[in-house]
Amino acid sequence: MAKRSNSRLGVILTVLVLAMLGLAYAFVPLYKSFCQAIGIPIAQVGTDLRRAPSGAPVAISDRTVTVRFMGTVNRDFPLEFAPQTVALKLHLGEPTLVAYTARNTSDKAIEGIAVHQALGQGDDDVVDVLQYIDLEQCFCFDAHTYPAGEAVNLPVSFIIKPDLPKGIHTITFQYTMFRYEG
Amino acid sequence: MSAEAISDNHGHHDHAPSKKGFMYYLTTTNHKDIGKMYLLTALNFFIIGGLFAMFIRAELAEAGYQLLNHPFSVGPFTFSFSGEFFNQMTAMHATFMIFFAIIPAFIGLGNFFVPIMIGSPDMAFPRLNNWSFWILPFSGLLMLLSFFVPGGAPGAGWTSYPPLTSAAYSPGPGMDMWILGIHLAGASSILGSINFIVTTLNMRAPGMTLFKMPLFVWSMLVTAWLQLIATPVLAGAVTMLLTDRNFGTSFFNMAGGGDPVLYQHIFWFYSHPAVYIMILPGFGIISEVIATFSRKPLFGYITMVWAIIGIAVLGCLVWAHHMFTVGMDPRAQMMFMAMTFLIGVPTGIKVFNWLATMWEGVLEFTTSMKFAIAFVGLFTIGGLSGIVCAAAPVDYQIHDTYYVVAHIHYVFFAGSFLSIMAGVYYWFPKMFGRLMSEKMGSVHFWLTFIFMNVTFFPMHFLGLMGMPRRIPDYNPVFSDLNLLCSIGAFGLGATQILLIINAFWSAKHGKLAGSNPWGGHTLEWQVSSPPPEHNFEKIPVVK
Repeated sequence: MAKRSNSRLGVILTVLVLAMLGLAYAFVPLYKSFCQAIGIPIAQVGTDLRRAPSGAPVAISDRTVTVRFMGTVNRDFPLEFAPQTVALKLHLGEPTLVAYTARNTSDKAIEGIAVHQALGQGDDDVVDVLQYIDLEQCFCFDAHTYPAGEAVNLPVSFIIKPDLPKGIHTITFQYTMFRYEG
Repeated sequence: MSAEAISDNHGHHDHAPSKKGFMYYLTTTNHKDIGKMYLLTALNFFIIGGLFAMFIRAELAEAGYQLLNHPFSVGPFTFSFSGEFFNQMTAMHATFMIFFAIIPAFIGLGNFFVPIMIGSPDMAFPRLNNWSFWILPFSGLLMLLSFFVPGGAPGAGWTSYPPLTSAAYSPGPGMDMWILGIHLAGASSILGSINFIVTTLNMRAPGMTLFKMPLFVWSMLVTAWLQLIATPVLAGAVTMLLTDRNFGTSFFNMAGGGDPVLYQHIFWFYSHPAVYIMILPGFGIISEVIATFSRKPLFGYITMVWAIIGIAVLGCLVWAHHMFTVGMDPRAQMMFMAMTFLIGVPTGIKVFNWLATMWEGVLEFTTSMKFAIAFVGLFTIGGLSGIVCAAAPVDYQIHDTYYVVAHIHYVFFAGSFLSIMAGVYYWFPKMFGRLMSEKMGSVHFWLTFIFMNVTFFPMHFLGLMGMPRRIPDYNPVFSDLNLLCSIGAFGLGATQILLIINAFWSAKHGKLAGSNPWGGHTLEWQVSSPPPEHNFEKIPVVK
C-alpha cells in the first residue's frame, strides 16, 4: 500500500523534473518574446546598419573575420565620438555600411579630422591591414565641421578584400578625432 | 515518542555482514551508511577545494606574481603555473565547494537523520539512494581529471558564462568535462531530492503530521523541492552550452542569433535557488541545535516553517540580481531589487526566532552550540551584505569586486560551513556512538571563528576600494589587507586538520555517548547510538 503510493509520487516527481528541463529550453523563445513585448533591446544578428552600399558586387568568400570599431578623441577636443556598432562578424568581400556618431558638446562650431587605422590580429602579432580594406566612404578622408551642440552621423562603408592574410581573425577599426586647424 | 533504546545486535543479521568491505559499501541501501559516505565524500572534496583556495591566497598574499610564471623543478619535471592556472583555481575552488562539499554534506546529514526523525525505517527508495550517492564521487573525479587534459580545467569561473566558455575562448575538453560533471552531480541531486520528498511525504510514522516534523526535516523537504525544480534547468543551460561548443547550435552564440545574456538568466534561475539549497538545511540544523542547548522548545515553530517556505519561493524569483550590470531594463532591475529585499523579511523572522529561543533559556555552550551561535551572528553579516549587493545602484559599484567575494563567503562559510559543523558536533555521537572531544572541538571552534573573520572580513574593504575578483595580481595599495586575508586563510585551512583528527580519533576512542547525550527531544535521541539497522524495533507512534 505504502509502496505503491511511493512509486506513484516518484513518477509524478520525475515528470516534474522533465518538465523543468523542458522549461529551460522554453526559456529561449520565451526570453525573446518577453523582451520584444516590453521593448528590451536584445542582441540580433546583423543590425540595420549592415545594408550593402551601391556598387558592383564582389565575390563574397566563406571566410569570416570579426571587425571591431573604436573611436577616441584627442584631448581637449569637445566632441563625444563613438561607433554605433561595436563589433560585427563579416565575410570577406561583403559590402558593409556602419556609422559613428559625433556630438559637439561646446557652444561653438568646431572643425575636426579623424585619423584612421585598421589593425589585424591573428597568428602573428598585431599588423596594419589597411591595404586589404577597400574604404568606399569614410569621414576620415577630409575635415568636417561639427555644429555647436549637435550630433551627426558619420557613415563608413567598406569591403574587406578576399586576399587578407590567412591567419587574421579580427580587425579593429580605430578612429581618433583631432582638431583641424587648416 | 515511546521507542525504547534498542541495542545494536538485534535480530536483523541478514542485512549487515560482520565485516564491511568495499562491496558492502558499493551495494549498501542503508540510509545511515549512505549518509556517512556522503559526509566522507564531502570531506574529501572539501579538502581538495580548500587546497585550491590556499593556492589562490598564496598567489594573492602580495602584489605581483608569487607562484605564477616562476618555473620550478620536481625531479626531472619542470612546472610553471600560468595565469590560466590561477583562473582554473578560482573556478574549481567554487565548483568543488558548492557541488561537492556543501551540498553533499547537507545531503549526508539529511540522509542519516531525516528517516529517523520522522520515524521511518529507511528512505523511500533505498536502491535509488545508493545510486544517487555513487554518481557523486565519479562526477567529482571527472572534474578533477580535467586538469590533465590539453588546455586544462575550465578557467571561466564556476558560473561558466559564454562567450568565455564558448569553443573559441575555452578550447579543449576540460570545459566539456566540467559540463558533464555538472550533469552527473545534477542527476545525483535530482534523484536524491525525489527520494527525500517521497520519504518525507509518505513514510512518516503514525501521528507525525507535517507540522510536527522537526525543523531540520522541514528544511530538507523544502531544499529537496528547490533541487527538484531548479537543477533540471541548470542541466538544460549547460547542455545548451555543450551543444553550442560541439554541435554548432547557437543558443548563446551572437553570430548565430543567440544571446549570451540568456545563459545568465537560465544559469541563475538555477543558481540563485542553489544558494538556498546550501543554506536552508543549515537553518534547520541551527534550529535543532539552539532549541536543544537552550533547553526550550523552538520559539515560533510555525513561523519558522513558513519562513523557510517563503525564502524558497522568493528565492526562485530573484535570480537577475546577479546580473544588474548586463544592461537590463531599469523596470526589471527595480522588480528584482524589491523581491530581493523582501527575502530579508523571512530571514529576519528566523534570526529573531533563534534569539528568542535562546532568551531566558538554560544555555549550554557545547561546541555544537558555539558553532550555532556564531552562525546566527556571522550569517547575519552575510545576509546584510547581501541586501547591500541587491541594491542595483550599489551593485554597479561592487559587481565583480572582493565585496561580492566577502559576501558569498559570509554566506557559505559563516552560513553553510558553520551550520554543518554545528550539525556534525551535534549528531556525531548519534552516528558513531561516541562523543567527539569537546576540548579539541572548542579549540577548533575558536580558531575557526577567529581565522574566518580575519580571512573574509577585510575582503569587504578590498571590494569597496575596487579590487576585482578572479585576477591574480592587484594594485599594491591593496597589499596589506590581502596579506591579512592570506594569513587568515592559511590559519583557517590548518585549523580544519583539528576537525579531521577529532572526528577520526573520536569515532574509535571517544567517550561512549549513550542514546541521548544532549537531552534532545526529537526521535533520533530515542534510539540507541548508533541507531539499529532499521532505526526502530517498532514504528513509533507520535502523540
